Amino acid sequence: MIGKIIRFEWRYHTRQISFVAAVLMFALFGFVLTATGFGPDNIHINSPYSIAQSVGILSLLSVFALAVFCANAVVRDREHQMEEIVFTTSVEKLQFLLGRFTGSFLAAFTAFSFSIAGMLIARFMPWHDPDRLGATSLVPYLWSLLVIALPNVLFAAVLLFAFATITRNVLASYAASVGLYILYFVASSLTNSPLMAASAPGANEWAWVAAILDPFALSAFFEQTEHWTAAERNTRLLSLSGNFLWNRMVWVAAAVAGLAVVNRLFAFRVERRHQRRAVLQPASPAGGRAEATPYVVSITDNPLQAYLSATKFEIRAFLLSAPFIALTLLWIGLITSEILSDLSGGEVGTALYPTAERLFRSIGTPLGLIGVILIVYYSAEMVWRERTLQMSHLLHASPAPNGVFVLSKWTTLTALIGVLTVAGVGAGAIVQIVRGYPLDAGAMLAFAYFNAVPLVLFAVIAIVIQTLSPHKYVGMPIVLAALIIGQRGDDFGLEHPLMLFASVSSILYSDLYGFLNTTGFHWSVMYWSAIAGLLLLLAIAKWRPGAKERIGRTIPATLTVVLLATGAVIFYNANVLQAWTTGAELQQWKADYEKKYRPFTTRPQPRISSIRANVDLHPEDGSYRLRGEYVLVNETTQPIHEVLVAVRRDANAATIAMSSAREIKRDERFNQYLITLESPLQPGAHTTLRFDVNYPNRGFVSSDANVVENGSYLMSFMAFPSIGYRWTYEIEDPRERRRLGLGASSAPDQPEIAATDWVDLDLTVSTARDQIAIAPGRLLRDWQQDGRRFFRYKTDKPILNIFSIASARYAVKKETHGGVALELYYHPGHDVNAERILRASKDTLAHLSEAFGPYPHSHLRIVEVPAHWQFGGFATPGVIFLNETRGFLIDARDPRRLDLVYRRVAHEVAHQWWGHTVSAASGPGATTITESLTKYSELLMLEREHGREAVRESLTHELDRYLSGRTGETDKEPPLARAGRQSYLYYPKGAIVMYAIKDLIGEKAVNDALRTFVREQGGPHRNPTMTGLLQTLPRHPLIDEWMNDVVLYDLELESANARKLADGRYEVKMRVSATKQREAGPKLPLRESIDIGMFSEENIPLYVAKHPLKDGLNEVTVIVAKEPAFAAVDPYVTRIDRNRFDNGRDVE
Amino acid sequence: MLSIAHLSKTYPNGVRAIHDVTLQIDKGLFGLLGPNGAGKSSLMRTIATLQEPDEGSIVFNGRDVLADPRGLRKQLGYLPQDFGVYPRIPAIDLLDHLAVLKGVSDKRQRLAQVESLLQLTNLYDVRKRAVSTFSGGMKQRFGIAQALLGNPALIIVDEPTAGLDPEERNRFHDLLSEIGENVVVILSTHIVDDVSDLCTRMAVLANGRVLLQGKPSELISQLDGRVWRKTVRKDAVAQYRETHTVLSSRLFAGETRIHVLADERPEEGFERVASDLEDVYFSVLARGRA
Repeated sequence: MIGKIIRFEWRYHTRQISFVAAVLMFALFGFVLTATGFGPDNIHINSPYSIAQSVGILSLLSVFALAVFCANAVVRDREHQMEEIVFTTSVEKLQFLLGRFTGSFLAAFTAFSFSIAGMLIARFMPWHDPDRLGATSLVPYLWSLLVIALPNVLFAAVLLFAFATITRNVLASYAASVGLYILYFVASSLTNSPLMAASAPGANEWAWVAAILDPFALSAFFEQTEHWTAAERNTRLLSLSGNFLWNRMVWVAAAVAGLAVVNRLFAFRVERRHQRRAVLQPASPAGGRAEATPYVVSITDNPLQAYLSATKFEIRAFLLSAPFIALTLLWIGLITSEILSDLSGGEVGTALYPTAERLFRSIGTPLGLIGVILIVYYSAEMVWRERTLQMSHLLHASPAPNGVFVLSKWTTLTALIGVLTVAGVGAGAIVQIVRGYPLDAGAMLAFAYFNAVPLVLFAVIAIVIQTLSPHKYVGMPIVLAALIIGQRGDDFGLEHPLMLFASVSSILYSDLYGFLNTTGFHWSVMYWSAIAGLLLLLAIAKWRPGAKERIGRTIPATLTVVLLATGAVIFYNANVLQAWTTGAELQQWKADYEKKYRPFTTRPQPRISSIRANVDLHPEDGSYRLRGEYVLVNETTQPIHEVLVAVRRDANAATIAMSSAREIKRDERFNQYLITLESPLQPGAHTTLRFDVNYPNRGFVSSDANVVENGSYLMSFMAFPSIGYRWTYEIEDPRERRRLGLGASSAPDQPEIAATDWVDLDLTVSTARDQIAIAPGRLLRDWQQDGRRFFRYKTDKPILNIFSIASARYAVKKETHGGVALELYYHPGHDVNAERILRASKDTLAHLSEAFGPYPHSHLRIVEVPAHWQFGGFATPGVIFLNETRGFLIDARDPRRLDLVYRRVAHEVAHQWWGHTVSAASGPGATTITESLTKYSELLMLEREHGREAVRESLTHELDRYLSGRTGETDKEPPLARAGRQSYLYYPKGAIVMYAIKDLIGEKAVNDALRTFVREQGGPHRNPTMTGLLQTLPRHPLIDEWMNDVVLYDLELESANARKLADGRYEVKMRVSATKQREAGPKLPLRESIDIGMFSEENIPLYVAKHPLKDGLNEVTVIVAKEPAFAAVDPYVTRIDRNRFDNGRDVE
Repeated sequence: MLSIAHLSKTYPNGVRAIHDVTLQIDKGLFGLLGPNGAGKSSLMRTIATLQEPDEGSIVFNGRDVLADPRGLRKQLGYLPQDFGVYPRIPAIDLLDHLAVLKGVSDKRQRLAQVESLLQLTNLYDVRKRAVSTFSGGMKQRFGIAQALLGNPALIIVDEPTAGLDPEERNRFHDLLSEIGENVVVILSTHIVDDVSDLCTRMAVLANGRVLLQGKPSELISQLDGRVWRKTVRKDAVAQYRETHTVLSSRLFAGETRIHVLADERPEEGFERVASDLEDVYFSVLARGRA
C-alpha cells in the first residue's frame, strides 16, 4: 500500500511542470556557481571543498522547492477539494502520511540532485583557468550530496511538511522555512561564516554551538575546514566526525521526530471548519424578505475606494495573519541578537557604540535577505490567491479596474517590507535607548528608507513575474532567477547602473558628512521606479486573464518621459562626467598600460627631491586642484633624456611643464606625459617640473569620496603626478594577468606606499572657511582670503613621500609632551576616546623614543577620517589618520576587553619609527620590517598599559588570523623573513614571532638590537633589508628557524591532575605532547623550553615558568602555592600552534 | 437588450467552445439550455467580459460591450457556476467589499443594499459568519446576493441550482423570476425544468452552436401531436433507437418508457402524449447529432 502511495506521489510530482522547473532551476544554479568560478581563488572549482560549499549553499535554496513539493503534499487535497475522497479511502494514516511525504521528498531531492549535474557540466566549460581545475571525480559530488544535501533537504522537507500538514495552511509552512533561515543566520554569525558580510575572522568560543545549531551544516563545514590549507581543500573530503557528525545526527533525528509529531497531530479527516457550521434556516415563505427588488443604489467610478477596500482585505489576510505575526516576532528576535552580537563583536572582540551606521550594518544584510525570501513567497501567494480560491470570477466581473488588484497586492508587499524594516529599526532604536546612546532617529529612518526601497522595487518585479507566469510554481523560480541576476549582475555582464535592476548607488554614511551619494540614490530610484511603474502597467494590462485592459496613454507616456529623463541624467553622470567603463575595459586598460610603459622601469628616471604645491580643496562640490612644482634630481649614474610623468586617469585639465623640455607628448588614453629634455639631465643635476592638475566634480555615480562636504581626505599617491612607471596600475591577480597575456608582476608589495623617495614638502592647502586643513610639516601660517581658509605647512627635514591631506570642521585638543606638540583633530562629539588616544600617543612616544631612538618631528597630529576609508589607522610622517568607527567610536570602556583604541594608536605611532624612520628597501621582507616591528612595538605598549593578559588575548587573535589567513595563499607560503604582500604573515605571524623572540632572548636584547638598527639604517636614502635586521639581532637557531622557515607546532596538554600536599601547597602532574613540523614536510626534532602556566579560578596566573620539552610525550610536575583551576602549555602564544584549543585544560 | 452576433471562441488548446452564436435577449428570464460541455459557461464568461471572443459582437442596450467591457461590468451581476471565497471573512464584510468593487461608493447606500440583500436571500441572521463555512445552498444564496449588488441591468447566472435541494431551488426560482421582471437575466442550466418553470425565452446550445431559440411555449407547440410514448423492455431500447427517433428513455416505476418523435403512430402500443420542453430539448439534440 505504502509503496503505491509513494509511487503515486512521485508520479504526481514528477509530471508537474513545477518539477521540470525545479530540475532546470537547480541544474542552472549548480552550473552558474561552478561556471562563474565560485570559491576562493586559490582552490580548484571542482575541489571537494568548493563542491561541498556549493552543495551547502544550493541546499539553502532547496527550501523554495520544498515549499512547492512537500508543503503541498497534503494541503493540495484541500485546495483541490479532494479531502473527502482521499480521507474516506481505506488508507491508514501513517501510511498515507509517510507515503505522501516520501514521494514528495524523493521528487524534491531528485530535482535538487540535478544541481550536481549542472556543476559537473560547468566544470567542462572551456573558459576556466586551467590552474583552477583539479582531477574530476564523482566521489566528492556524491559525498556532498549524501552528507550535506540529503540531511539538509530531509529536515527542511519535514519541517515544511509538518507545518503545512498540521496547520493546513501553506503560509504557516513558509513562515517555518523563514524560521529555518533565521536559525542558519544566527549560526552563521556565531561562526563568522565566510559567507556573511562584515565577518571578521576570529576565535569564537561559541563556534561549536553554531556548528551544531545550523540546520544546513554550513557552520559545521566551515568550522571543520577553517584551517585547511589550499592543498587540503583541493583533496580532502569532508570528514563525517566531530561537530559535523553531531550536527548531521541532530538534524536527522529532528527530522524523524518531526514526522512522528505530524503523525500524532494530523487528524485524518476533513477539518470541521471553524467550529459550528451555519445551519440552514428554515425560511417561512413570506418571512424574512424585505422587498422583491433590492434597495436601489447609484454606481460611481471610485477606483481609489475599491483599491483601499482591496488593500484592507489583503492586509487582513497576509499581515494580520498568525504566520506573519510569528515571523515578525522571530525577526525582531533575530535582529536584536544580531545587533547585540555585532556590538560586542567588533575587531578582535571589541565593543562598539550603537551608532545608526553600526546598527544598520547589522540590520541591512538580514533585512535584505529575509525581505527577498518573503517577497518570493508572498508574491506567489498573493498573486495567485483568488485563482486558487476560485474567486477571481466574482471579482473580475466587477467594474473595478485591474489596477485595484495589482496595486493593492503591491501595497501589501510594500507594507510587509515596511513592517520588517520598522521592526528592525525599532529594535535598533531600543538598543540605542537602552545603551544610553543618543537616539539618532533621523539617520535611522534614512537608513531604513535606503534599505527598504530596493526591496519595494523588487516586490514589483515579483508581482509582475507572477502575474505573467502560467503557474505559481513556475513564477517562483523565475522570481528567484531575477533576484540572482539582480544581485550578481556583473557575473552576467550587467554592470552599468542603467542595466541592473534596482541597483541604486551605494550610500555611504559618516557622522562627519552625513549621507553621501544620496543624489545618485534618488536619481536611480526615480529611474527604476519609472521602469517598475511601466512593468506594473504591464501586469495591470494582463491581470484579468483572457480579457485585456486598455491602459490610457497618459501614464505610460509620463513614465516613459521620467524614464528617459532620469536615464539621461544618470547616463550623463556615469558616462560623461565619470567616463564609465566596464570592469573588463578597465582591466584591458591596465594591461595595455603595462605593455606600453613597462620598459620605463629599466630606463633611468629622476627622483622627486622637493614638492612645493598649492592644494585647493572645494568641499562644497567635491572638486580639487593641485598646482605646484617638483624639484627633480638625477640620482642615477646615467644621463636622463626622457622623463615620464603620470597623472591619474580621471584628472582633467592637467598642465605639465618643464623649462628644459624640448617636447612634451601627452598620451591621452593613459594620461601620461613624455618629456623629452632639451639636453640630458646629467647625474646629480636638478630640474623643475611644474604641474597643474584639476579634479572636477565627477557626478553622482562616482564612488570617489575623497573631497566631501566635511571630512575630506586625500592621499598623495592618489592625487599628485608621479614620475616614471606607475606600479599601482598593474593588475595583481596572477590569473587575470595570464588571461590578459601579461607575465609575472614585478610590482613591489604594497605599491601605493612603497615609495622610497624622501622629499622636502611645502604645501599651501586651502579649504572652506569653516574647516581646518591638515598636512605634514610645521604649520607656518593660517589665514583667510576670498572667503576661504589657507594653511601653509612646511617640513623641517625630508620625509618619506607618503602623505595625506585632510579637511573638516574639526574640534581640536592640544598638549605638549617632551617637546612634542600632540594635537588631536576630531569630529565634535567624537570625544569619548580622546583621552585614551592622547594617552596612548604620549606613552608610545615616550617609551619608543627611549627604546629605539628619538622621535623625528616636533609635532604629532592625530586626525579623524570618515568611516568609509578602508583602514583602521594610517601613519604618515608626523600625522596619523584614524578611522571614525575603527578608532573614535569603539566602546573601550569595558576593561575586560582588548583595548583596541590604545593598541591601534600605539601601532600607528610606532610606524613613525618603522616605516617613516626606517624605510625598508622594496623586496622580500620589506613588509616584515615595516609591519612586524610595528606589531612588536604595539605589543610592548599593550603590555605596559594592560599587562601580559592583554598580550595573550591579542596574540590569540593574531594566531587565528595567521592560521586562517594562510589558507588563502595562492602560492607556496614564504617564511616570515621573505614575506611579500601576505598580510597574514607580516601582521599576525610577525607579531607572534617577534614577541616570541623577546620571550626567548629578553626585551632588552631585542630593543638594543632594534635601536642599533634604527641608528645605523634609519633615515633618508638608506634601504635596509631583512638581512640587515637579522644581522643586527642576536644569533639564535630558533630565531633563524622562525624567520627563515615555515614551521608549525602542535602542543597539547593531555592531562593535568592536582594533589594537595601536606604543607597546603598543590602538586600538579601534567602530560604534555609536543610536535614540530615543517608545513607538509617531515617532523622536526623539538627541544625547547616552553612556558607552562597555572591559573586560578579568576584567571590569575599562579605559576608561569619555562620547562624543557622534547617531541613526543612529556611529564611535567609543578608545585604551586594555591589551588590551580586551569593549566596550559604555552599560555602566552609564543609558538605557532595548529590547534591552541587543546593547549589548556581544567585541573582535576 | 442584449444582442450577440456571430460570436466565436476557440481556446488555445484547440477546443472550439463557441461557434457562430447569434442571440437576441430581451428583458426577462432567458434560459440557456444545453448538456455539459456544450459551451454554456464559455458563452456566459464571454458575455460577462471575463474572456474575449475571437470573432463576433456583443451589444448591450446599444453599447458595444467588447469595446467597453467596464461599461458592461457596471451593469452586470454574475454568479459563476462554481466559486470560492476568501476564508474567515464574514458574509456582510465580503458583500460590502464586493459592493465597493462594483462602484457602490456611498457608504449609507451600500450598507442599506447589503442588508436588504442579506434579508432578501435570507442570510441576515448569519451575516457575521464566514462565507467559507456556509452550506451549499447558503453559499449559492450568497452568490445571488452578490450578483444583485449595484442593481445590475444584466444578470448572468451559471448553473445556479446545481446542488440545491428542491425547497431551496424553488425559493431560488421565486427570487429570479421576481428580479427578471425588470432586467435581462440569463440563466444557464442543463436542467430542462429550470427553463420551463422560469424562462420566457430560451436557446439550446450544443457543441458551441445555437441549435434552437424561441419562446418555450411556441417551441413546445411545434411538436404538438408528434410525440409518442411506449413502455418497453429495457433491452429493446437500443433497437428502437436504430429504427426511430427516440427522444428519451427513462425509468418510470421500474419500467422503461421511451418517447419517440413521429408524424404518425410508429407502431402498436405507442400512445400520443402532450409534448413538453424536454421533448423539444431532446429532439433538438437528436437533430444536432444526426
